[in-house]
Amino acid sequence: MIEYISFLAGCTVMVLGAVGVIRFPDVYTRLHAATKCDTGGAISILVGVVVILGMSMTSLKVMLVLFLIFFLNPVASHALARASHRYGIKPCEITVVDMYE
Amino acid sequence: MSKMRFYLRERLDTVKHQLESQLQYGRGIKTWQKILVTFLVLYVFWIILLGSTALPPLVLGAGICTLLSFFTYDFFTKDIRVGENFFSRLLMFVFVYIPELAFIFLFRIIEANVNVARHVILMDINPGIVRIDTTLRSQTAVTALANIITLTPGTLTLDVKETLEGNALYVHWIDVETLSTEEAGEIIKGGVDEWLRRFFW
Amino acid sequence: MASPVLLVAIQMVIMVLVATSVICFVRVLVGPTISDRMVGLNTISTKVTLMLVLLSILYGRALLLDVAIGFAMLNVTGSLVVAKYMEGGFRD
Repeated sequence: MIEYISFLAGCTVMVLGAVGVIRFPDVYTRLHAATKCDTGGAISILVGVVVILGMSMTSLKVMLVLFLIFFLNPVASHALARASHRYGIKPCEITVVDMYE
Repeated sequence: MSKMRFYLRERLDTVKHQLESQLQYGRGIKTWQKILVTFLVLYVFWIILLGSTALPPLVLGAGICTLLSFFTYDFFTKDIRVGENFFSRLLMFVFVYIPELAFIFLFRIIEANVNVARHVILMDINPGIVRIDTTLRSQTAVTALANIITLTPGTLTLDVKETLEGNALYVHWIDVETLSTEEAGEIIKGGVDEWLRRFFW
Repeated sequence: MASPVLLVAIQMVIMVLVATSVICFVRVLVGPTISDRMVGLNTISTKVTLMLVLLSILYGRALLLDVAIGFAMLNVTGSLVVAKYMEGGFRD
């Protein structure tokens, strides 16, 4: 039962994240939506897979995939955000404050 | 004259900071402890990648990990703080502190996911880049803090700059609640700052 | 090992992942800047990693899990290379 609930939650988060990647106005806010897909969706779906597999060596490997997504995806989004700020891409008009200059 | 004195004072602070950093680096944990920690991390990774419990690959992996940990022990363990009892700290780290962090983190992620889902549907965002200060100094600790801030949906670390008291992080925040550095730090960092200071300096 | 209901559920999850990948691919096509396209590609890569894990359950092959581990590592490398290029090359 737990696996169905977590699959459902993961699918919902994935759909909302994809819609956010389309709807948000500039690259930084889009990165927020992308990070949300990575954390919320991937955690929910992979926890469901671990529940299906039970305690075994295979589920340890699935946990390793979860760990890698967890620790490597923020590095990529951080590098992309800093690179686009240095490349000269401005934040959108509704941005309140930009202390990084 | 007063400007000159101010410059000298700033310079003195910089030198003091550098000296303090070097003293901290010199006071890391002992070499055999570094080798042991590196060996444990590498061997757990080997066992997970192996996917079976046959004896010959396990022995081979132990040999290879011992050899590797003698060469690479300084990469991950350079910034660990010195403590009283090494083994009790290791056990506490694996069995108490990591579940504690996971527990804190789970609720933060769920709350932040719901928040960003609301932003996607209603589009009531007011984004901005704010600056927060932390007193953590070492590279490992700042990297971990920046990663955890980025993992929480709604905040995204842009850059890290070294200051006299520690480090300053520039964070893109999707819903800016306050402009003051201290209050923003309280909201964004949560308890992660204190958690990291137990092990890294 | 798995019940038919579970297999259908996993297939549904894979379909949702493919559909959201198509939505993100629209951003890759129309994105005004390089960063927008990379954001879309990064999201798609994460979804493909999840799909590989789910397919290894569906087909019962543990080999696909190793492929997923490799793919999760490569995804980050690609984004880092593009970010480094945007910051001005590999001179330092």
